[in-house]
Amino acid sequence: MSKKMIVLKSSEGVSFVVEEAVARQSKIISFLVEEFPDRELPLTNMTSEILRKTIEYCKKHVVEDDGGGDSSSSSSGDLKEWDVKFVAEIDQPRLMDLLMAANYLDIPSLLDVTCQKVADTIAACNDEKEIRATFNIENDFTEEEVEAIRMENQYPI
Amino acid sequence: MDHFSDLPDEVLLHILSFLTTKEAAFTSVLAKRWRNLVAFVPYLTIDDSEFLHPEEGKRDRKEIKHSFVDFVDRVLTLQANSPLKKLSLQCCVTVPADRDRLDGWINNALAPGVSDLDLRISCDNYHLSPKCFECCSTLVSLKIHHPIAISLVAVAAGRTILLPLLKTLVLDSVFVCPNEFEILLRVSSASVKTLTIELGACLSTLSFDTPNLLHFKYSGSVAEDYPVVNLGNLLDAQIFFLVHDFDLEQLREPDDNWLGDTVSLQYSNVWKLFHGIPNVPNLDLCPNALEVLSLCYESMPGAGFNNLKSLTIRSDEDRGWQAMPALLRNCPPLETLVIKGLVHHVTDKCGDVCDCISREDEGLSLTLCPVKVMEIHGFQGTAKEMRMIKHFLDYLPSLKKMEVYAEENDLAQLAYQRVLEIFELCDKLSNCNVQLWI
Repeated sequence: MSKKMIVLKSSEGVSFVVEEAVARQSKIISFLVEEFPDRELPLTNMTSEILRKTIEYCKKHVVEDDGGGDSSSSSSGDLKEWDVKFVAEIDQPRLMDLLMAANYLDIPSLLDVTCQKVADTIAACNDEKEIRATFNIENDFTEEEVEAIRMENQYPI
Repeated sequence: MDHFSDLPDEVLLHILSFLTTKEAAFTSVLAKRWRNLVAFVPYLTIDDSEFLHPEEGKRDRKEIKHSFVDFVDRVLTLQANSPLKKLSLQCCVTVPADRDRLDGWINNALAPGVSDLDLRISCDNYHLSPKCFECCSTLVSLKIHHPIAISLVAVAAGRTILLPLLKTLVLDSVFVCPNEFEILLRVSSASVKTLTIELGACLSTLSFDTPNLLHFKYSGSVAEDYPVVNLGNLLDAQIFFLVHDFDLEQLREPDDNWLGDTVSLQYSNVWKLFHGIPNVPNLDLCPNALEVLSLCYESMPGAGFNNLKSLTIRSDEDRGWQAMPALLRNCPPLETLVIKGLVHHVTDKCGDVCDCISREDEGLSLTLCPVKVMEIHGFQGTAKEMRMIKHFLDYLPSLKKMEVYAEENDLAQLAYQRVLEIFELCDKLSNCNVQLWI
């Protein structure tokens, strides 16, 4: 039996043919497939690179329904390991794009994995200056305001 | 460009929920957008060791303790307007004044909506107020660690507690009375899937009316009675009994006096616990549990675990394998046998499973056992262990694979080459794939 395929189109207009079961891990795509069957789905805010990464993740995490109940292609321990490697290989700006894609497409497990990685990166920073530098955050506080917040929190470091 | 600028606040909160509360609070100095985000993170993970370590002696410095308490106060006050989903609180409270604040924190956090509660509070004689459980009908996971005590009796008397969603219950060396434990289980019995209990105190009766339980870990003394054991759907059980050496001596060879009678009475109903888990596919027994199980076989020979696929036993040089012959004979679908430590106390009852005592019906139980895979851990390379391994290879008819893991460091120098050669020989001569892992 051939599997049902759907077409996703990136912002550059590149088409990706994906098994429906793979794409349905996104709640948004799942909804769109039901509303507009047999249509190409344009994802205008996602680049081909990020869409390819997202599909790679979904392919790994798809749960095959072969009629005999749920049987994932990998064990949960292997999957976790794979996830860690998957996000470790992505650089910071692309990780944020992927996180945004996971949020936009509503793929909870991918959102968790990418958020965890960002949280780990924050936790690994030595001070707020390093966090700001890593994520390009502009400090819109005055020196006095920072000092005031610090006093309020009173970190006993 | 700011990497977070395109992300909505809810995603930022999701990121912060993966940090400890201290780390999350630290982000409030980043920029104005981050200023008060921490107040809306629905998960609180507070651990005073983060504040008080790594400097030795820091814990005892007064100003540090104060700042920790103030910090938690502030976070919880900020939090007051947004409902909490998860609270994990680990701290040490010694000052009486802080106890009241601790009560306040917990009561504050335990509003409707909270789903995960994990409390590890070091405080003399701290009782979790029964009020805690009244408004927590949304609890999914409840973990309480030593030395907190729970006193539910007051609740049971007057009001009802409802934990209809509870799936995971962990009581780690928490002081409970049987009454209280049963109340907790009764209020959540239909939903609870994972139960881990480590009981410090000796209970006279213990009941498990949890038909949907899947994962069961029990560590504690043997109760005098198990009136209700409804655990028919278990997937895995780990049973660790605490048994005094004196009790064991009496069980093996009872004194013909009141002392012997008292001990045997104490253990006379433990069969009900094993009898209540006849379908469990994965079973893990500590050395004491194995000895105690042998008493059950004495009182009801032939009873077995009908669906047991994987059995793990742990050995101790002072505890015997008396239960092994009956155990291996009465588990028709057994596929995997994991033995953590081959060295055990030699008794004439474990006879035909091992070769500690030579006998005529040697290996009989093994020839009836369908095990395909064996794992042996903690191998020390002694001649006695080698004989036992050979014994298993000789008599287990369906054995296809045996993996032996050496105890760290023990085998390093000690006759390593010779042992390896013997293993290679075993691998060649038997139908079974034998491997030694160092």
